[in-house]
Amino acid sequence: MSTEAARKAGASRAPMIVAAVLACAGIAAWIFQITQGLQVTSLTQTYIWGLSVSVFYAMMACAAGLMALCGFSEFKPSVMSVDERKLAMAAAAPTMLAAGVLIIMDLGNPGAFINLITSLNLTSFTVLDFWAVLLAVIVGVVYLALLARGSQGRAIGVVAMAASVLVIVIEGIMMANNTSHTLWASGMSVASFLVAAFTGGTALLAAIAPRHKNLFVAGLIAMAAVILAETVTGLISGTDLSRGLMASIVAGAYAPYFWISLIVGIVIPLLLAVGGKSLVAAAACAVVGLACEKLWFVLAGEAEVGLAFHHIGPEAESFATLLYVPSVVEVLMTLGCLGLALLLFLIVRAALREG
Amino acid sequence: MGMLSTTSTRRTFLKGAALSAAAALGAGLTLDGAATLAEADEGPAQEKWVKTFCGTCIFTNCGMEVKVVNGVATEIRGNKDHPANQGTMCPRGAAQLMNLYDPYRCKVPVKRTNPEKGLDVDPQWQEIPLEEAKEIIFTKMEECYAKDPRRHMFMYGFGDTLHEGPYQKTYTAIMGTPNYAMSCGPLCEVHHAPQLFNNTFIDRVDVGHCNYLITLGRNMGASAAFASGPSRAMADAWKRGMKTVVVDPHCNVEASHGEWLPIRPGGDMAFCMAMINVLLHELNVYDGPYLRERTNLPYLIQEDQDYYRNPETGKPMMWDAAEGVAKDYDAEFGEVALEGAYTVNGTPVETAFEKIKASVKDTTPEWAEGKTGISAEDIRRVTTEFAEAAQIGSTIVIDGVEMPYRPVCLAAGRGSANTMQGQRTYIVADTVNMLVGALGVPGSLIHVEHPKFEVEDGVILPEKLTTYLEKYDAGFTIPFNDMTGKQFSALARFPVLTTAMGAIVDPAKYFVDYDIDVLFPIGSNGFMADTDRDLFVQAYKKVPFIFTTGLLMDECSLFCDVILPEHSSLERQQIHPIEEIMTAGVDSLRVGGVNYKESPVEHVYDTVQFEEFVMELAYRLGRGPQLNMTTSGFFGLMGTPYQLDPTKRYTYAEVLDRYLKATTKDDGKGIDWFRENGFWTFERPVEDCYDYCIQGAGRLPVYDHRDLMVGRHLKANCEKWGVEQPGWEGRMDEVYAEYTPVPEWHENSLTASTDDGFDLYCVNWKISPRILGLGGADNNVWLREVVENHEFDDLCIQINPLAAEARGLKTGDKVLVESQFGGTAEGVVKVTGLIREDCLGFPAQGGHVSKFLNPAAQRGTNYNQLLSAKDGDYFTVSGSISIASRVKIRKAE
Amino acid sequence: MHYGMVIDLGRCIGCNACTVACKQKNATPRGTFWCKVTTTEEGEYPKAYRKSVPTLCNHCQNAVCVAVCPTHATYKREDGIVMVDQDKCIGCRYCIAACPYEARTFDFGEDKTYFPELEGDNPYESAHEGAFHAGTVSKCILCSDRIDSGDVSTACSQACPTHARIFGDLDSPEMQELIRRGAYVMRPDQRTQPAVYYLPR
Repeated sequence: MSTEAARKAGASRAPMIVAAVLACAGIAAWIFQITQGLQVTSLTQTYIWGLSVSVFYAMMACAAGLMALCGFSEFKPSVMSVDERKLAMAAAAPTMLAAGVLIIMDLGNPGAFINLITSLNLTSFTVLDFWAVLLAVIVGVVYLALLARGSQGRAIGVVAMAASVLVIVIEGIMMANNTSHTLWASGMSVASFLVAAFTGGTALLAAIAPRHKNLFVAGLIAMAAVILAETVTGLISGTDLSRGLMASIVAGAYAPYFWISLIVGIVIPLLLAVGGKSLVAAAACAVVGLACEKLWFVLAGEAEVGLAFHHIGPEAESFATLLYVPSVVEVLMTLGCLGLALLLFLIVRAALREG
Repeated sequence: MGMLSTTSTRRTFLKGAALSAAAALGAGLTLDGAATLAEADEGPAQEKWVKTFCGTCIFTNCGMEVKVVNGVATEIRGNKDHPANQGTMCPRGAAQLMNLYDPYRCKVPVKRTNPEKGLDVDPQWQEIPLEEAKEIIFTKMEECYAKDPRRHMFMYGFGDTLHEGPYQKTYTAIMGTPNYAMSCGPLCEVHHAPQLFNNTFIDRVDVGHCNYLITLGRNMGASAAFASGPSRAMADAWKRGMKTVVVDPHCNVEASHGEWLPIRPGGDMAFCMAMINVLLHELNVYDGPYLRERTNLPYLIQEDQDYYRNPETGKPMMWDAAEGVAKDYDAEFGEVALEGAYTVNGTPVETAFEKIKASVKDTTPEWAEGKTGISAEDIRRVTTEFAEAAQIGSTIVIDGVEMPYRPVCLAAGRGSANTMQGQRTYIVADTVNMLVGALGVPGSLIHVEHPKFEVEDGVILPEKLTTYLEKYDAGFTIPFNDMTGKQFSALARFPVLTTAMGAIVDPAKYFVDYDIDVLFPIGSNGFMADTDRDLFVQAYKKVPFIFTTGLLMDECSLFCDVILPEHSSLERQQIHPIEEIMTAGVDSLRVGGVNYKESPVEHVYDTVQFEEFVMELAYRLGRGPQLNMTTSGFFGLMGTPYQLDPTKRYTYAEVLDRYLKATTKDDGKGIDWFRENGFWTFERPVEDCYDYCIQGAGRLPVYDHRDLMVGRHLKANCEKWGVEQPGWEGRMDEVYAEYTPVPEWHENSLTASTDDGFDLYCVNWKISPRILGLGGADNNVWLREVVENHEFDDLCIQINPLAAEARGLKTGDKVLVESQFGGTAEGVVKVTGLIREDCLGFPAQGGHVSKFLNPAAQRGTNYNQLLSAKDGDYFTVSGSISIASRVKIRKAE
Repeated sequence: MHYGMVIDLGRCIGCNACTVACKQKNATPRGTFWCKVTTTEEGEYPKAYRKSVPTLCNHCQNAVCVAVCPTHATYKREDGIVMVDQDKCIGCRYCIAACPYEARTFDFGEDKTYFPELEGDNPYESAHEGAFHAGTVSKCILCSDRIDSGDVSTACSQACPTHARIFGDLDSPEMQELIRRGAYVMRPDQRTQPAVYYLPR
C-alpha cells in the first residue's frame, strides 16, 4: 500500500478506534450499573427517566427522520442521490440499533426482558415502541442491504417512511399517554416529536448533502417554533401551574438544558448554516440541542406530580437548584451507545466503499 | 463503627435466631421471663403471635401483639381485642422492633477503665461478667451505706417507661435514702392544680361529653398521638361537634381542627385572668349554687388574706344573708352569701369570692392583649362562647346517675404551666372552670386514679394542712437532711433538679453537710432532657461511683463506672395498670384493668431487668423487709393472701404473679393466664369517674388558702434559720410573693421588655414520632426517618414569614439561635405561618452529643439547652423551669 | 367485590402511625414508603392550619399502571388489588411515569439496611431479606398477604389511632354509605377510578 493510502487508511481507523473505545467504556459502565443497580445514576424517584431516555429519543428522532428522508428520496431523487442514501442509511440503521441498546441499558432488570416480548400487552406503549423500534431497525437494515445491491425502489421507500413515522408517533404518544403530566399530555408531544425528527433528519441530511442547508434551516426554525410555543405560551397565558413549570424550564432547575437546546441546538446552527460555515458542526450542535430539548421536556414533566402532591409553589425559586445532572455512568453509557452507532456506521461505510 | 464493637465482637450482631441466654432470674418455668420459643432453623417456619403491651409513652395502656418467626420478632400490631387502643398503635409503638433490635444497644456488662469522664471522652469499656459487675455495685453500695445511706442518690426519668413498674417511685423508701432526682420533673409542672382540685396526680378531660374545649399549652393526645384512647376521643369529639380553641404559640394538629389563637409565651396567666374578668365583671356569669355549695368562695377572708376563724370554734365562717350573721361553715344556713364585705367581731372581712373578683378587676381583655398578643375581641368572644357552652344549671344522666353537666373545659398543660407563674397559671385556669361549675363533672376536668379526699376546714385537700405543715416545718432544719430542695420550693412536687445536681457539686451552698458517693440513674438522661448541661457534667464527674441499667450508650451512660445492659421495652416482664389518664372518650372513660408482657423472643443481648436488679440490690443490702413491705403497699397486696412476707426473698416474677392474682380478685388470674391473654379489663362504675360523686361534703379550694399558708411557713422557716433560697439572695420577697391565694400578675424575665436584643421567644412541642425520647425513640431508625422526611415538624427551626422577612431569612438558611441565658442552638430554618410572628419553633428534640448513638440521633437540635434551670431563674415555688426563653437569631456563617 | 379504603380527613391527625405500621410489616427499605402522610400548611397566618393527607397506592379500578406495564408484571387481582410481580418487572419505570399518585417506588439497588455504617446483620432485616429486588418497582400491596391468610384488614387501617382509615369491600353497604357522605378521590380527571376515597375535614 502507498503511504498516502496507508495514511488515509490510518486516518480512517482513528475514528473507529475512538468509537470502539467509547463502546467498550459504555459496556463497562453498563456492567457496573448491572452489578450496583441504578443508584450509580443521578436518577431519583421523581426524576425516574433522565439522560438515557432523552438521548434515546434524540437518536431515534435523528435516525428515523433521516430514514424518512431517504424513503422520500425514492420518490424525489433530487433530495438524495443513491450514494447519499447509502451513507444516510449507514448512519440511520446503526443509530436506531444503538438507540435500542441504550434503552435496554436503561432498564433496571433487563434479565426479565423476555417477558416484554411474550406479553404482547398492546395497551403498553413500551411494548409498541419495542416492536416499532425493532421494525424500524429491520426496515433500516433491509433498506441498507437493498441500497448496497442497488435494488432499492419506491416500495422500500414507502415502508421506510411509514416505519419512521410510526416509531416517532408511538414515542410521542408514549409521553402524551401520561395524562398526569400536563407538559406531556397533549398532541403537542407527538407534534414536537415529529418536528424533532424533521430537524434531526435534516441536520444529518445537511451534513451529508450540504446543498440542503435550507431544509436544515427550515427544520431549525420549526424546532424553535415548537420550543417557543410550548414555553412562551405557558409563561404568558397559562395557569399558575404551567407558568411555574415554564419558569422552572426557562429560569429554574432545568434552565441549563433549555438554553443549550435553544442556543447550541438552534441559534448556533442557524448562524453556522446561514454564515456558510461547517454544516457538520452545525448538525452536531443541532443534535446536541435535540438531546437537551428531550431532557428538559422529560425532567420538567416528571416534576409535575411532585408539584401536585407536595404543594411546591409555582415560583421559579422552587426549582432554583439544578435537580438533575447525569452521573458519569449515565454519560459513559450514552457515549458508549453513540460510539457503538459510530463504530457500526464506520464499518458499514467502509464495507459499502469496498463493495 | 461504634465503640461497642471493640468490646463485644462475637455478640455485636446476630444472624437469624437470637443467640444469647435468657435473662430470667426467677424460679419456676411458668413464671420465666422469656416466652418459650420454637427451635431455630428446624423444619418449616415456626410462626406465632405473642401478646404484649407497648412501652413507648407515658402511660402504656395499649395492647399489642408481636409476630415471632423462627425466634425473630418480625412484625408488631395492636391487639384488636384490647379496649384501650382497639387494635391501633401510634408511630412509636409501631416502631418498637427497631428498638428491640437496635444494634446500638448496650449488649454486655461493662466497667469503665478510663478514669477521666466527659461527653467527649471514651470510657474505654471493659467487658466483664454480669456477676462481677453486680458485685462491684453491691460492694460500692455497702461501703456507701456503711458511711451514711444519704450518700446514695437515685435518679430516674421517663426512659424506663417510668410508670410501668414500682421501683422508680418507691426506690428511696426501699433503700432508705432521702436523695433522689428526676430528669423528668423540671418541665412537668402539671401536678399541683390537679392535686388541689381533683386530689389526683394528673387530671384528664372528659372529651366524650365536652362541647367547648380551650387548651392552654396542652397536648390532648391528637397533636402528639396517643393510641390508647386520646386520639380517638378527640376525633370522635370533633365529629360530634366539639369546638377546640387552641391557645398556643404554635398551630398544632388540634388547632388545625378548630381555632388557633397564637399566644405570646408567658402570657397565659394574663389570658386566664382576662377570662375571669370577663366572666365576673362584664358578663356576670358564674355558677352561683355551685360556688356557694361546693367551693370555699363564700368563706370570709380577713385583710391579711387568711380565713377569718370563729374565735370559739376555730372554724372558718360564711355569711348567712338571710339572717345577716356570720356562722361556722358547717352550720345551718338560710342563704349562704357569695358576695359582700362584712364586719365580724369588729374584724372587716370579705368573701373569698370578692377577693377573686377584686384580683381581676383591672385584668381586662384590653390589658391582656398587651401581655398575650391575642386581641381583646378574641379573648372576650372566646370567654362568652365558653360561658354559654357551659350550660350552667344543666344536668345529665349517665348510666342512671344524675350529675351537673358543664360541657366546657379550659385545659392547661405544661406549655402554660411551665412558664412564669406557671403553677399558678394552672390554678387560675382551673379557677375559670370552677367559676362555671366545670370541674369533676361530665364534660370537664376530672380525676384519674380514685382520689382520696381529705377534708379540713370543710375544704378538700391532698393532705390535711396541719399535718402537711407539721411535716414541712420538721423537715426545714439546717443542715438539710436531703438534697431535694423541697424545703425552699415548698410546693415542689418533685426534687428541684438544680438543687440535686448543685448540691452534689457544692453541698454547703445548699445547706447540706455531706457528699454523694454513689449515683444510680435509670432511664434518666439529664444531659438531653434538661438544661444547663455543664452542671450535669460537673455533678457526674464529682460523684465517685455511678452505675446504671442502660439501654443505649447515651450521654448519661458515658459517665457511668459500671453499666448493666438493660432489656428493651418489649423484653421486659412487666405489668401496667390500664386507665385512660389523659383524654377520655366515651369508650375509654371507664376502662380499668391491667396489661402484662414478657419477652416474645429470647433476650437479644445479655441484658437485665431493672426491677430484678433492684430487688437483688435491696436483699443484698439487708433491706428485704422494706422492699417487701413497700412492694406489697404499692401493689395493693396488704391484707390479701398475696402480701409479701417481709422475711422472705422473692423474684420479680413472683411479685407480678401475686399482683395479678390480687388485682383480678375472685378470678385469681396469674402470669400463666396473662401470658395467653395479655390483658384483663373491667368497667368502672360511672360514679368512680367523676369527682362530683365522690367528693362528698368537701369544698374546692378556689381560694388557695393552703398555698398561702405554705408560703407563710416558708417565710417563717427562712427567717428562723436565717437562710435564703440560693439564687434569690436579697430577693426573698419575690419568692414569698408567689404564694398567693388569688390570681396575680407578676412581671418576669420572659414578659419583660425585649430591649436587650432577645426579641423572639423559643417554643417547643411534642410530635407524634417523638414525645419523650423513651423507648429508645431518639435512636430508632424508622422514627428518625419519618421525622426527617415525612413530618412537617422535622429538624428545621420554624420561623414566621413576618419574622423571617424582617431578618432576611428564608427556608433553608443555616442559623444560630442564642437565648437570654447564654444557650445556643444551630439549625436550618423553615418559614411557616404555623408559628407566632415573634416565636421560633423547635419541634421535639434532637442533637444528641454522644458519638456512640446512631448518627440520626445526633442530627437536629437539643432545644433544652436554650432554657435555664439556674438558681435565680427557675420557678421558686416548684423548682420547675420555663419551657420558653427569649432568644435572637442570625444567619450562621 | 373490590377492596378499597375510605380515609376520613376529619379524623386524621397526621401522626404517621400508618407510615411506620406499613414499613415494619413489609420491611420496606430505607427511603421506600408504600404508605405515607403528607402534611402541608394551608391558609395564611394567623389563620394558617395543618392539613394531613395520608396516601397509598389507590389500587385504581381503571389502573393505568396495569395498562402500560410492558411485561404484565403489574396486574390486577380479582379482588381489585393491584400487585407487582417482581420476577417479571424489567424496571422500565413507565408505570412510575404513568401513575398520577407517586404510589410506586423504584429500587435503585442501594444497600437495603438501615445501618449502612455498621457491620453485621440485623435479625429483623435478616428475617425479611430477599423481599425486594434491585431494579424493579414495588408498591403497596394492600396487605394482600394478610388478606389471603384470612385476616381481612390492612396494617395501616388497623394501626390508625383515630380510626381515620376504613378498609373494606367498596361494594359493601358500609363502604358505600361512607362514600355517599361526600367522599372524593384524588385526581378524578385522570379517570383512574381510584379505590381510595377521602372524606373532607
